[in-house]
Amino acid sequence: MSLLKLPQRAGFRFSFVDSFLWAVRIGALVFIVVGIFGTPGIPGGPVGSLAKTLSGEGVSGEAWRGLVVTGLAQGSMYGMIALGYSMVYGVLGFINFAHGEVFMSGALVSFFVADSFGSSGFWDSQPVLALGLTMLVAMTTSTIVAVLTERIAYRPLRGAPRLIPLITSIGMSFFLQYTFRGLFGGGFKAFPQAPEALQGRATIFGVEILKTQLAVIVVAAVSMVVLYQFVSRTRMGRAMRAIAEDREIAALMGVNVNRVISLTFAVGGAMAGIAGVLWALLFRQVYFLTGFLPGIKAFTAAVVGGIGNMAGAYLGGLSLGLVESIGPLLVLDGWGIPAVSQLKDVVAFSALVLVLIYRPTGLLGERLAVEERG
Amino acid sequence: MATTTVAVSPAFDARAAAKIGLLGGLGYVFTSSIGMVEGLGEKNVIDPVLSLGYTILIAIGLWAGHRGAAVGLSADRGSVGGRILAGGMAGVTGGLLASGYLIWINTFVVRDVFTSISPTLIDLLNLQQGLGTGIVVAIGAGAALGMAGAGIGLLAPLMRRALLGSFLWVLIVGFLEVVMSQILRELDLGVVLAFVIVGVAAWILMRNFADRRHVLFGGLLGALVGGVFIARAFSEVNLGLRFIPDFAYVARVGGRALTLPAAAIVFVVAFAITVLFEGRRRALRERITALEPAERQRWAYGLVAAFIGVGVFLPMILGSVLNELLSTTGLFLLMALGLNIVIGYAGLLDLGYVAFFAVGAYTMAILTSTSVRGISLELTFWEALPFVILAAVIAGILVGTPVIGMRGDYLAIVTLGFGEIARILFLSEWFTPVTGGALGVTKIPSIELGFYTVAGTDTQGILYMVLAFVAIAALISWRLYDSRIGRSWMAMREDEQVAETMGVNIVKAKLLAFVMGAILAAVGGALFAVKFGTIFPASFSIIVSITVLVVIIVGGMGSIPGVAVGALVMIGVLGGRNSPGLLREFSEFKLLIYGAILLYMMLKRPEGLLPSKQRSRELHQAEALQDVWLRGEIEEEEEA
Amino acid sequence: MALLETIQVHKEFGGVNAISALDFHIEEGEIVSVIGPNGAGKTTFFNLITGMQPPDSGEIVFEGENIVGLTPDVLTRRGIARTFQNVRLFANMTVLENVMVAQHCRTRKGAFSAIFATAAFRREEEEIRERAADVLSFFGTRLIGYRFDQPAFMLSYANRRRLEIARAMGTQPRLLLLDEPTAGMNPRETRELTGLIGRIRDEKGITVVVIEHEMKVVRDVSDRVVVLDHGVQIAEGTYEEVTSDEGVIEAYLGRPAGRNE
Repeated sequence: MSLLKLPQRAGFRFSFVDSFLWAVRIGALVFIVVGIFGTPGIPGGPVGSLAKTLSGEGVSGEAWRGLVVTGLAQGSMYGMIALGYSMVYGVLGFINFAHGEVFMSGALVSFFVADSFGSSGFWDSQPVLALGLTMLVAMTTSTIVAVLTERIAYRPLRGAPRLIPLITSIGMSFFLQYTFRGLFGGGFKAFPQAPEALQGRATIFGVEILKTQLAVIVVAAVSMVVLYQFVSRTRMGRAMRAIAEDREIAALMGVNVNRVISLTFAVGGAMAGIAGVLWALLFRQVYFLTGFLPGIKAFTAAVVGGIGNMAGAYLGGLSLGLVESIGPLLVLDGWGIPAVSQLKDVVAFSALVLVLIYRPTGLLGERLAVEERG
Repeated sequence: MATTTVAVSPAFDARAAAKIGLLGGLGYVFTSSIGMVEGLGEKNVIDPVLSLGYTILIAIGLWAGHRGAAVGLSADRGSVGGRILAGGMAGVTGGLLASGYLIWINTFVVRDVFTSISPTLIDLLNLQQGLGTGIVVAIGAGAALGMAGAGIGLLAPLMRRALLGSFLWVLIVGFLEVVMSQILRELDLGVVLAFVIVGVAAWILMRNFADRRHVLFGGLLGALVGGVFIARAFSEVNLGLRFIPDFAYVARVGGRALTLPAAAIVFVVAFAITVLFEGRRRALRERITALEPAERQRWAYGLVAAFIGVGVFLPMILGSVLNELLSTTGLFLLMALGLNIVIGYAGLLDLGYVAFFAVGAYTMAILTSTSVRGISLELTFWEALPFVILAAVIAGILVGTPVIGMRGDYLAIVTLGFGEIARILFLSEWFTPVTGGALGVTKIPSIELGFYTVAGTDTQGILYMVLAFVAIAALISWRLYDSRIGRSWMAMREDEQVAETMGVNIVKAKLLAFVMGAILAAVGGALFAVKFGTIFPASFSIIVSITVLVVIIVGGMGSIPGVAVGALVMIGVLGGRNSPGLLREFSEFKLLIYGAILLYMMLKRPEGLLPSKQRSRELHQAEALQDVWLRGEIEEEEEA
Repeated sequence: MALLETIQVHKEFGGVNAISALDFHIEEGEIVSVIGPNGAGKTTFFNLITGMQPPDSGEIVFEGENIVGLTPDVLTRRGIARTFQNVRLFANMTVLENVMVAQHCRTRKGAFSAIFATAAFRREEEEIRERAADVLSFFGTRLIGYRFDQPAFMLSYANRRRLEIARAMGTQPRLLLLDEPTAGMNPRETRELTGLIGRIRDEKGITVVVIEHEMKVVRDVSDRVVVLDHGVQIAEGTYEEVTSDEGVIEAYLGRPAGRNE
């Protein structure tokens, strides 16, 4: 489908909304292109940041590559969290706002394990085992939280008007945040530094990158592949997809709907748990609100990638990570906006709006964000 | 335990009762572990005997006994002993779980991980003695409370209501210490006289001129103005009621608490009133349900008049703390009325609603402030207000248009994104020359009324301003609801596509909802700016949007009285963002309680406390059908 | 001049023709039935006329003007109203409110006059209410009195169908599209409704297109019958002409053995 397909309903009659959206589409495109390349013909016009780099004045190529890697690492984590949103949306059709807190719970609880490993020296002497155990704890915690959430709050609401589970999940989100604050305190927890084996930089394809970032990207990719195999090869995975297609028919075909839905939450939770440890390794601090913004971003990623689509969630995560990492410098800096790095969230959310305007199905999605007409 | 169960009755479901007991035990563990028991342990409700923390634990025990008896003994409802035993069993089970927890926290030092499990908490749970006492108390009190809870279930409904109601009144009077003391201390002859005069005038006018609205409203207005003058004239004559709070409350570490004799008096009085006036209450209710629509309309007018009277005279006796509290509540109510139009009427879940509030606040600030020279036009409040509304309209259209075609949940996340975009932009260095970045805009001037200047620090004046705007907003909401526009919103909420084929222009209807909501929020923001004199981006976080959402959900989406009740309960009692409510002790747990209330409401009472008719129909179609069937108004399918 | 005319209208869904090369017309004051087996494209035909779906090609001319690309609300204002095969009422609004909403496009008082409750606004509200009550009284005593304030979901199935027709009539249409109005009704209710369709035309002067499966209804109401099969018009004419047409019988019963190609 072409990105610039004329809106079908309009015929030759352009409505107010259509013209507005076209103005936004074109305006955004112009803004982005000028931001990147500048207006070379016009003296005194904006000079694109990429143009600056090419002429050797602006940010170095090295710095750009660094931003790309950072974006990919960040995006990998978004992708892993996005999976939980995407799968739940596929199966139950609502946004599970509390998924960010599922992610946070894994990160927060794994802190205590990692902290004790860190102080006992186990962290550095057996890095793989220590990290594996930490992740196991995080996965277990997140899975339990996710499954319990579903059991307590969402299961009684099946079949309710669609905004009700959404609002419930907002309530759950706050309840979990402040429960965890009550249990473990409200302060930042300083995660131990990555094991020695993961400190410093490595050079890959001539690009120097932080080993932790590399580890994040690799672990995320491996988990995604494993999960993909699980969903496409196993019986449970098939049942999951069947329910996403049509819950009632699936139930009639003998699929145990409750069990599969629990499993969906469990799998989403486990992925979020791994992402939690990766997040903690990279940013080295966690607290009870850690899940909030990444949660919203990950949902954004799921929408960008095409909700209900697993590969889409991962791709959406990577794209969003890249956009918010290089976007501010690439587009905004060219316009002479100061301190662009403050605006990375603005870029991310604008990307969400633009994706939904340009291509409501997301990059790989089939389901429509726009109400299907007729 | 299994042997006991069989002995009592074959219908005794011990497992069900024990399960409830375990839930109760979990409640004990949960509230203790997140620090609630300790955090609220300081606040005494009744002076030496009862702290808020213990109240919560006791309530859990009673609940477990009550529920345990109900589920544990389904077939054998008649047996008093059986029920008490079932309740006791639930209590003991909970107590056992609690004991396990006590042993754990007494034996190990778990504070490094679970920060709330402090020595103070352990002492509280052990009643300041050792672990042994703690265990004995947990199990013993569990059993006693369980049996008591079961016993409450056995009482006659009237007695049960009287008992629980009176206890609730004791708690309320305990909590309302600030309000009670303030009002009783300050109460002066003027306000009382004014109340009486306006009340009598309203009564006479309602009886004689109910059908002539101009006379009615003119008369009421005259009475109000007269009342204000009288209130002012006699405002120095204190009624000398301060001995009541002095007797009833005693100062303690965690705030003032009710004394034991005062608590007893409140309990006895409330109990007596409930029991003695039961017959009259019922008669009154029957009379109200039997009223003709026109008559009911008149009563509704009367209620509105009463609210206006309260609104006019209450700020005079509340004192600055409570006025402040009420203005915060009013600001949230203003926003909630706006969001109610967007969500409750039109069904558009806007989670970035705070953006409009921020736009209003910043527009007002930037246009009037004397601190951003060169940019500010240094207008007055009234000159800037039209621009605030204009900015709201533009913002409403800018946010509304891209999301016109989007489905509910996408709309939620996109609007949430817009809200964050607005906040970050206001905070950013890019906008700093205009918005002052993190430091915000300062020196926002007072409101000039011509005869009076309402400064931000003048809590009473601000409260009057807020109340006036709330009244306007309520009027707007009410008029719109019952109009062509309101019906088109309702239709759109029910089925967008059909609404469109019935001639509703969806684009216009949605944009109008966004714009109306935006205007109310922006006016709220403008008042907010004046009230504090300074605004920072930090005041406009997503929590505000969520808080407003909670207000309308708790109150009842789509219902104006519901939203007002929601604002009073949530903001007035629990407190809004950065502003403590009446229960200041709960501030720490405010958001936890918000979350829990949202969950509870969605699961058990999604239509809210005071729902709109349409909404409760929607959520309880089956019950509504049954009602009508019982009234004989439903038809049988016609035969061939 | 025909009230409504479609010229070579095409619509396909994922490569399957729902409507192809359809030429349809209806004169002012006519009652035309559209019949055809399941999946013949009848409801799609309605969706195209009411603007709920755009045709891929072709023209739809209403009162001499091409209306392709206009939104449903505009078409309702121009005078096209419809009902739905699976009754779609505003279930939680009252009976009266359902019909009051339908007058949205016939009234114009906006937010301002509502907020200030101007005299004109109150007059208009009163008119809306009266007209709604008037439309509902068209159905005898079934939808009036205490029913005014009952939410729509409380109605019996037959009354829901009636209310949906009332709601469509509330838009004051010139052309009314009824999608299987008697589906699910018992014989007596069906007879009654058959008479009602005639009255809609005779008393209110509304032109009617009916999608109908019940052949007795088709016989009794139609001036003309159009038969669709797989999106193609295979026959047109009076009830008698159409029911004796071989192509029509084939479409319904399948091709007789031996003539299979």
